[in-house]
Amino acid sequence: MSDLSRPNRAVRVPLNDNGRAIRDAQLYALLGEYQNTVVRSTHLDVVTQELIRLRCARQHDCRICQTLRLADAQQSGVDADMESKIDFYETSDLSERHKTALRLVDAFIWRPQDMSDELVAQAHEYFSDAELAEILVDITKWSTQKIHVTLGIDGADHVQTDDRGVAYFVFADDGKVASISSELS
Amino acid sequence: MSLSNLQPEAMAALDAAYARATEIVDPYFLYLAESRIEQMLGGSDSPGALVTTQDLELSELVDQMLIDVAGLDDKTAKRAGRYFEGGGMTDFVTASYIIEARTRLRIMSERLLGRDS
Repeated sequence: MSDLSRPNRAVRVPLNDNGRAIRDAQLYALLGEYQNTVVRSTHLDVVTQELIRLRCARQHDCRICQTLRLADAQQSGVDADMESKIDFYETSDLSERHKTALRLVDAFIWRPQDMSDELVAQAHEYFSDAELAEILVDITKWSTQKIHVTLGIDGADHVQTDDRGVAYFVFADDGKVASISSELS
Repeated sequence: MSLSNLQPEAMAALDAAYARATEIVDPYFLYLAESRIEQMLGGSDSPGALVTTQDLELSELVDQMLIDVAGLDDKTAKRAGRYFEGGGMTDFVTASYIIEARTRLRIMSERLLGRDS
């Protein structure tokens, strides 16, 4: 992908002894349960899901999210070449289905109130209602990182990466992250 | 079918997170965040008058989160951080994000899927 990222940001909130932001445990747990619930939804294919996740990561400039790759998606065909097309997807040879998903991400993140009738029609041409619903909640799941970016706690220094600078993660059945590894197993 | 019909568990979980946010975040701060988000995304006509320096500095943080979080600078965050102790700023930012997510979901889903009946 092209390098559109901004300079490193400082940590902006107090941390506890474990290096985590001090916060209300119940609020954090409830937002976590929302994210886990979204991950457990199975209407959308994993390749589209990963393109959406990476678009969110790039738009929000989340350092950790840009470092990670969903292992299932890599095994289903997402590779560095495909990832390189996300920033400038409109002029890429990505499928119209994937371009439509990325247009929905951009509409959601930037000005949802201005989503065009044309995009609404495209969305229904390429996706079922169940898939569209999952796309919307997926975007909010992958935009939760805005909290970390705002607070400056989105750093990826602690993550071991491969020679491409990425690490691979896997979800467990309950929707929580099961593992992060520098190797794609 | 509406988003609530298609993703009932997720919507219930997000509502639960919002309910907790209303319990722990200063009601005025929460009102300020909700007003800004509704005004900027929902086209609300509410005046949302920013009276004090505190209003302005907290709104600046919320606005930047909404518009372009990657462009949020350390100074803006530091100015807003002066109004919180302990984990207060983290909880305020988390609450603001939950409100933002609910608002964006409402706007997008009404266009794509229809309203709740």
